[in-house]
Amino acid sequence: MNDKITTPQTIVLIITTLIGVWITTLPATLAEKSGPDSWLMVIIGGGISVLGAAIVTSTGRQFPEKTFIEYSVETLGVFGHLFNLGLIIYLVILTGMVVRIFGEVIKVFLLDRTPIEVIILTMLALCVYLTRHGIEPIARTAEVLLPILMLPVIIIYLMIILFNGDLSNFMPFLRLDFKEIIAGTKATVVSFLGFEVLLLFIPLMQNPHQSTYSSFVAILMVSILYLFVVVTVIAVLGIVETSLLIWPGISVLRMTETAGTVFPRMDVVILSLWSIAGFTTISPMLFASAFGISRILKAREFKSFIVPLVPVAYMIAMFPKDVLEARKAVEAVSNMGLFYIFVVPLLILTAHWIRRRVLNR
Amino acid sequence: MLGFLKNLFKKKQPEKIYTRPLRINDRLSRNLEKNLETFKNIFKDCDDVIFKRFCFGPDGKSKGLLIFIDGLVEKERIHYGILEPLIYEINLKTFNNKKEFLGIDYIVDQGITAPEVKRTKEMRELVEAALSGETVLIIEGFNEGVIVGTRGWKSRNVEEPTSESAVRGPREGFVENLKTNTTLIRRRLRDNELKVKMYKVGTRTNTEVAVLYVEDLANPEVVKEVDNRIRKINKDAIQESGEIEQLIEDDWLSPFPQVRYTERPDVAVSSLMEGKIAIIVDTSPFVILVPMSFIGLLQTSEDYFERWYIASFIRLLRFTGIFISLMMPGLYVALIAFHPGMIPTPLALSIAATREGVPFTALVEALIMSFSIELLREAGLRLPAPIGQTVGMVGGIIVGEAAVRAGIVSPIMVIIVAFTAISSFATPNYSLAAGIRVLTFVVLGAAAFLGLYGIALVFMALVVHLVTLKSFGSHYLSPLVSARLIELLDTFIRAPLFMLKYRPGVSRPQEYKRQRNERRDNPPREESED
Repeated sequence: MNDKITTPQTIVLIITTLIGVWITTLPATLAEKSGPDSWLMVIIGGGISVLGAAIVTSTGRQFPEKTFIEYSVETLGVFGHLFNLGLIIYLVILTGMVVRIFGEVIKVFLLDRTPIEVIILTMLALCVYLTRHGIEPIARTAEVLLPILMLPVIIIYLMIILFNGDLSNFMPFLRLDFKEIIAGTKATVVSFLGFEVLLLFIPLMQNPHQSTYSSFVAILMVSILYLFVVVTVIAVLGIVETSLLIWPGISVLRMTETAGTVFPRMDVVILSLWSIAGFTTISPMLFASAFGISRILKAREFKSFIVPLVPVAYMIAMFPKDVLEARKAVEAVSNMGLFYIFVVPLLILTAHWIRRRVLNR
Repeated sequence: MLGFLKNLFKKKQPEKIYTRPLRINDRLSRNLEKNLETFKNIFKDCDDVIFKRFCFGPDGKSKGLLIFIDGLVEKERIHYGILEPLIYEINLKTFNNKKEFLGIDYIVDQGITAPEVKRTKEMRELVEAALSGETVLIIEGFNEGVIVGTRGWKSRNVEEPTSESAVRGPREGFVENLKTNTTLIRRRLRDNELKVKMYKVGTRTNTEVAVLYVEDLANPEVVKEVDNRIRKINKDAIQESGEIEQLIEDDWLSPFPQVRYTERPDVAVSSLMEGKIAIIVDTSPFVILVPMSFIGLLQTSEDYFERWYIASFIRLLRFTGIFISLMMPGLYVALIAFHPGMIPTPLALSIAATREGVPFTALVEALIMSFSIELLREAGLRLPAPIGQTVGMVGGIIVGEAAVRAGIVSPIMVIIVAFTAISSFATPNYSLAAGIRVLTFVVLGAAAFLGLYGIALVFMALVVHLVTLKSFGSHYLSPLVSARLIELLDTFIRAPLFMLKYRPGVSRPQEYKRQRNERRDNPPREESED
């Protein structure tokens, strides 16, 4: 089975993995933490994410045939096993949390009388249907869904900012102190989480040496989109209002009336697309979890591990009591993600370097 | 896991390849009477088989036997091609020369004037030939038979295709006769690279199947795959290319047709020129084209014969149509039942006003109307044309109007269902439209349970299904996944002809470049006026 993805497919896959639940919450977090300078945070955060991606991929490129699971053990020994376990736990928890937040949005805006369990389980079932086919169909699905997702989002937000935007909301200009910058940047970097699936996906690429390039392009695209959304939301709603909302990215669509004279009720469109964004985020994560487990157990194929993951992810998803708790949990988990992006690969690189230079001499 | 277990427990079976239907073990003998006896035994109680004995040669010493089936042969050909030269002319010639025994070589080479002649010692082959309309000639003293091509029977003339009419384009359509169909293609494609491979499929019907492809364009892997799949067919009767289609398609669970069928030779030829493969089945006027993509099913030959603005507009219209026919009832039910707040207020009010007094929920209403329109369509299809139209009128207009007046359904529901039906008619491929019609009900069900979210789920599941679906090794969703961007010029729109320099990638042709037409405009030559 030729189950490898091309470089453009990798780019698209990373973009769709990154664009997910965060796009609706990011403006609120940023407005709360950095006020009018949120736009700057997106740029800095994007830059730092690119750095993180560079670390992850350049580590992976040292071992183009192997996933994180194998090369961590190879370089770090016993600690490698620990890190592997941690990575899988992190991925599963992240999958569960993303599903939960996804379900919350659907419940709040579309199906207020449907139990959230139904929403979560149907979404997970759909993801199982896709991930069982392997990485290549996941990437191809992303290829088909990305234009369907992006074009309406861009058009609708563009209309909103043109009709309702007020750029004076970004005044005063550049008035942040260092602490606020750190807080805002971290919030942005967290919203870029998802590209750590590259720790596992590099050997699945046809050209592993292009992984850094792919992740650069992908993060650049996503940064532009995030910047656009953050600017639109804050320009329309203002700082205070944005920070008070839970899902300002969607609420902004309901609150605007002027743009609605052309196409009334555009939130219908966006909310339908929201399912696509969630789907293309959850599937690669679910796949990464199952794929990682199969690599740890040295199993021949990953398919058998997908279905057992569903109840686990479901239980994790149902664990937080409400949205706020879920978001807190995500913030806690995301620290782990940052650890796996910035710290662990550097550890591995160092260990690899030591093994090669010092021990072999 | 399950797949692994299945592989573990599945015994490896040798691949079955089409078994010959006629179990004939008799052999030809040199004795004519004995041969006659054998053939009469084989064609026992087949009263349409004619055995004609005749004498020829010097003094009528040589004896011959003709076997053919009444109605499948043109008797004039037998007369002028076999009997007259053998009985009359050989006699004269040999009288003038020496009076020697006539060899079979001599008879075939100089005696028979019919153009198609084949010699064989196989009894089975002779019987098959006779059954397919050839004439079998056996001569006393030889254990070898001669097959003379004398096929000819009444068949429909080449007429305008009824299921795929075009405003502009040739008016010829395929017919039930295989040879006529290959002729229609060959006449449009005068290229020695056009290959015609013949198969016999159907263990009892022995239906002839022709596989046509352009050898230096079609992908050899696909040709081989088609060959394999056709050889594997082991069914007693093949009457229509639809049966072949179902037996060779990739995924029998899919609601989407993975091959295209056409009644138009121009469509077949343009597909062949894209490196696709045409499968013609005798007795069927529908030619199968593989490999096919989803987008390919939405194209018509007219797209390329019209100017590009019009063609592009019509294509976009068709895509909208397929989207509407899939989503419309589901969207309506989702909006009414789950998200009434998302309908613009004035519209919501007027819908609520029309729905007042309707006793059913939106779902039941939609089901009733969709079901009745499907019934109407089926009824109209099966009845003779004039009555069918009447049924359509009565059902559509009178019953619809009455149902609204009686308060069973709301007028807006009638509009939606009618609109869906019209959109479905705009899909050029009937099997695709039928598949979409089934999916409409799936979308409806999902919308009734989970509203817009349910529709989105079904849509994404469909995308996943389409993305993983393959047609003879090619991606079914071809230009949209893993293809060169330039193909988008000929997908949703149809760019001006000179821009379409490449063949579509779905057929994985050996040669991508299709034209080197660089010219953008043809300026009038400036003539100097003196």
